[in-house]
Amino acid sequence: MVLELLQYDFMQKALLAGVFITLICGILGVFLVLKRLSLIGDGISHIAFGGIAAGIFFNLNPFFSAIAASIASAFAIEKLREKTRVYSDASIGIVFSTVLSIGVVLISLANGFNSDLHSFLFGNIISVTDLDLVMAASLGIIVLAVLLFYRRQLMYACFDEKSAQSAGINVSRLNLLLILLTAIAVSISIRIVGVLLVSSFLIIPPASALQIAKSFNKALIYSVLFGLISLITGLIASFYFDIASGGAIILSSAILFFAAATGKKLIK
Amino acid sequence: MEIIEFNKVSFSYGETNVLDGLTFTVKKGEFVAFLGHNGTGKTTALKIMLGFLKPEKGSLKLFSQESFKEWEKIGYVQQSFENFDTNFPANVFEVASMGLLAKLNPLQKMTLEQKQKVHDALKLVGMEQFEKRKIGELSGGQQQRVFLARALATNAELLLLDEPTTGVDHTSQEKFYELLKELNEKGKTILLISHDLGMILNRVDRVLVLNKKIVFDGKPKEFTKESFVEITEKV
Repeated sequence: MVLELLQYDFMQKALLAGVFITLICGILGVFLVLKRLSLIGDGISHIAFGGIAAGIFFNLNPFFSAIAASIASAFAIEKLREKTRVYSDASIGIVFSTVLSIGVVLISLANGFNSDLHSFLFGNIISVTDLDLVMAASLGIIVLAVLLFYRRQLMYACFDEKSAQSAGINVSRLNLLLILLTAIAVSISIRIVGVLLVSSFLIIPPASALQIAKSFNKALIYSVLFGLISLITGLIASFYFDIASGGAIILSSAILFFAAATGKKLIK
Repeated sequence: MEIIEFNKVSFSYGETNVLDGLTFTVKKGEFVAFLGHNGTGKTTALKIMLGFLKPEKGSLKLFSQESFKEWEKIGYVQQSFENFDTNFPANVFEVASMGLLAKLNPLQKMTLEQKQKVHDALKLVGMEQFEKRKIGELSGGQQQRVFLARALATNAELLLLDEPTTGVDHTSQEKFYELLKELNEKGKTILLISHDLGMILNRVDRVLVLNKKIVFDGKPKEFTKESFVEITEKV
């Protein structure tokens, strides 16, 4: 079945792009979920959408304007939390609504919605271009390399922030790094899966993995595996039943989550 | 040799003065109980030792150094984990290795010798048979033993313990304090914040009572629960 799909060039690209996103989001997501920052992906995807709208309005490459808006907002969220003692979730909410509203104002100034914007909102994994693939691959490799480089310190900080700090780890710098990597990962993924679905890639496979993993390395491996299974089954369903690819992937992912949660209960 | 030297340290949270000219020293190999009612500055003093806070006035030397950076020499075990996520995907060996791994270059693998150090630390605290068990599946007392092993695996010379047995059952508390006594006899310097006077007074060498500054410094036999109340009330 998969081999039949791979005869098509667009499906090869879709699968390759999906594998990159699954790898990045699967690993990054484990740290975010454990740090109770699951919804930051959702916040940043809305911020990125504001950046995309600004990019289209000012005739800039929307991919880069999304990354710029996401990174600047990641700093703003962290500074707002530090300087004004606003809670993390509130600072994410303030920044994402502000940037999103700037995007909405720019869209209205440009007299409405255009098709480019629509594709960023909902994404379309089966219309991935070579350029999308190259960008996703190169930035994805950087994100993965940084994550793997800092994985031990991140694991310690996720488990016990105070003790990690007492061991000489700069926890606030690590938190900022995590938000920056999320900003880049979301900007990469948004073109492919869309604003509305990107956060589920960061949350559902890691949450499924955490249901059954008994060690940290297994959690990372299971998270990527759950993501890959969802990707392949979602793409197959999308191809044969002619349904939206993004939605089919996320639905597969949700089914796997419920299977993992139920399996865990049954084993107990 | 002095391991901890507080010299006239003061610290305030806004208008509230918590430490006021705190001065004391702890020598190598001592087992010290650090007592005081809530809000008397014990945890703030501990946070200054761990580098989380900086003294507003005065100075602190650790291992005779004013700008101390060798954090592997200090093992910290905090209150029996109010924020501990029992679903965290880490087994006992991974948790006990965390301190050691944090010191390694991120590309470096643990050597056999380092792995052995973690095994030895777990053996010392009597948790070697649980190495593959998920940390959240252990009892509170067992978890605290693993956190102690994490501190020991880095060869920490000074153990700073902040109410490590809060929420832990009586038998496990007894075992934990007995283990601390054994570690002290093997040369570890220990500063212990605790409210379990009955269990610690027959094990420590020295008692320090804090109320913004040291209000009692003496041997455990000179100290009773009654004198604790008297001392702190007088202040």
